[in-house]
Amino acid sequence: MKRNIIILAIIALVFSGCRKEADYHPYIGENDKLAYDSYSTQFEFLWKCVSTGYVFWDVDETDWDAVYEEYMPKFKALDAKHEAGQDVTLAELETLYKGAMGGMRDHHMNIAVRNLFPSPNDANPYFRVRPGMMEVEQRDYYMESLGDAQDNLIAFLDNDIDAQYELAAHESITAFVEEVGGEVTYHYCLFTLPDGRKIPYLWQSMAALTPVMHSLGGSNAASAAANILDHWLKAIKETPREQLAGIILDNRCNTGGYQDDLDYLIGSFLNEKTEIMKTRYKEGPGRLEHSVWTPYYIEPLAQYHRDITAENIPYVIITDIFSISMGEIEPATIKAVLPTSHVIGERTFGATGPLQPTNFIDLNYGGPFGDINTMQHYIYTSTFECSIGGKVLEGTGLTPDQEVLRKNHNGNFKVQLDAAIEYIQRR
Amino acid sequence: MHHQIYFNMKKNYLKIIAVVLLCWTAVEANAQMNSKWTIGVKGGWNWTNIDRSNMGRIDETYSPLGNYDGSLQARYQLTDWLAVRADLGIISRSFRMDRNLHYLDPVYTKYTNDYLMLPLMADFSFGGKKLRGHAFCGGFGSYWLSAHLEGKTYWMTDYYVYFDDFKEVREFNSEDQRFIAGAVGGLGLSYAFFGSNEASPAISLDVLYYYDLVSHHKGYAHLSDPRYLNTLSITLGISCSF
Repeated sequence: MKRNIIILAIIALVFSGCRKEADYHPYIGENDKLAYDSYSTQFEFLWKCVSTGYVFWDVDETDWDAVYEEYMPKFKALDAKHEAGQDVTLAELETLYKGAMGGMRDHHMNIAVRNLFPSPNDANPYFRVRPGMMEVEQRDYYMESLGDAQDNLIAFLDNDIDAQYELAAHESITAFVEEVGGEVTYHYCLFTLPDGRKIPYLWQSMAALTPVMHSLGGSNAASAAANILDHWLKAIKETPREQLAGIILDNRCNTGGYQDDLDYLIGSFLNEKTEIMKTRYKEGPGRLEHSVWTPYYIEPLAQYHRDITAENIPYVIITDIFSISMGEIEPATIKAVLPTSHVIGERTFGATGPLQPTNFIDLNYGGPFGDINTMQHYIYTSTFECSIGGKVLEGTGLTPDQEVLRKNHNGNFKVQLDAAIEYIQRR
Repeated sequence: MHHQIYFNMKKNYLKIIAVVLLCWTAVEANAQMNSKWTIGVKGGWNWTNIDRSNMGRIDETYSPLGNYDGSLQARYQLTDWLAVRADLGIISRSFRMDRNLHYLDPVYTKYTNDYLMLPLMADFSFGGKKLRGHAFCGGFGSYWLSAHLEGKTYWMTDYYVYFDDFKEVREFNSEDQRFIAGAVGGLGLSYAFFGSNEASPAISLDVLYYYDLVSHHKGYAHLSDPRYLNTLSITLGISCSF
């Protein structure tokens, strides 16, 4: 008996030290503990944060361990250069971060890093690397953003004598919306076809229907913007079927915004609660550890309800390469849920992961973190992964049903609108 | 650094001593061989917890859960106090993760992992001819057969948080280490109706502790992130020796 106990005790002792220890990684929300004091420890910290909190490792083909192996010696070389009393410029740092992280799939990603030891040769206090923009600029149909051209839409259409449709009514506004913290531009047009049928059209510079509609009935600039949205939605709801040819939502250069806008853009046309997409988030630090895919439902919205499916009313969404984030989630979910929808234009940007602000970091310990004003880094990255119609569109974007490229028409942005109206006329 | 080398050497010496002692025991056992075979089945309940780092994810907390296990067992008696035993069974090893953040505290996940387990143990027994006590020690190899998830998750819009129940099969991925191994040890009681030296039916109670030594997550070259399960299993068995 005594011998047995001795043997068991020895074996237990042997096994007790056989497990590996996990590396330390700090709580990402506790900024004062996120210190680093060299280029290599800064890179290591950011590398670990992305390793444990990045939500797209299942679709991102970046070999993150290989990135570490390739770039850690280069950052250590910068440390050595600094310790030897030589300047390390922001440009040198930027080159390394572009190489290390410039190929990331997250098209929302925006990496801002300060030079820990600023050089007199630095023109700026920090640099930004945007992997999504780097990729998009390489696409063969890439063109500069429409910018002011879209803002001058009404004037352009008023002067377009070749158009096969008339501008029966239009309203435009650029308003500062306090809840958004910025300006939003809307153009509402009511086009009339040669046969007299109407097409309510809306262009939105960002997806901010929800906060703007909170001002409906008020007396400020946001309320005036809400009135325009109300007119578009009421035109869809109230125009008799024989007079309503179709609907157009123009999401070109829509840089994203509020998910709740889907209540208006989809919920208005649903008869029952409907799953429009699935989302999931990081749960656990493993790169492939996620929550389960969780359905995202939209309820019917009675305020502007119309059963466009039963009435077979075409719902056309125009997209371009600068339809970003909600600007592309909107057409993708509309296409997935509403059978009479049709997407015309260009493949979208590919930034489809919903985000939350940095003060929501505890949600998933992923998503945007850091602060470039008070810290040495800020990484803007998606909080959620999103799957629409069973596909993750991150990095690739939504491919339209009907491709119409500005680049093939000398940059003329009206060709996509013409194609939308022609499609509705053909239906 | 020197402390680390000393510690590693100490661990190696202990391993060598353990192996020598086991060999010596087996040799002695052969000399006094009074062998017989016992086969049986057992089933019961287990409690599993996970050893892992949450890597700064401060409100993801893990706690043990219970689940079933059952296996076939075969035992070869070497002496009146030593036998070799192998069990082949399926153990559901479950644990739970809860979010504690105040507005996400409904969120949880129950992880249920079914393992095909093959523990191989030395069975040191003592006591009378009918009622005997047992002390087990050995190792196990195991294969992760399937994984199931159940719980509550959330999705959120700009203004609202919603919760959603789920229950689904978890697909394996390239980071899962499905073959694992570990140490097993424990205590038992058996009652042989006609005495331990006779061909006899017997009933037994085993309390075994499975201690993973291989992480079921493969980890990364530059970020160590191992996960180990610990399982306390209590089973009742029936067996027959011949």
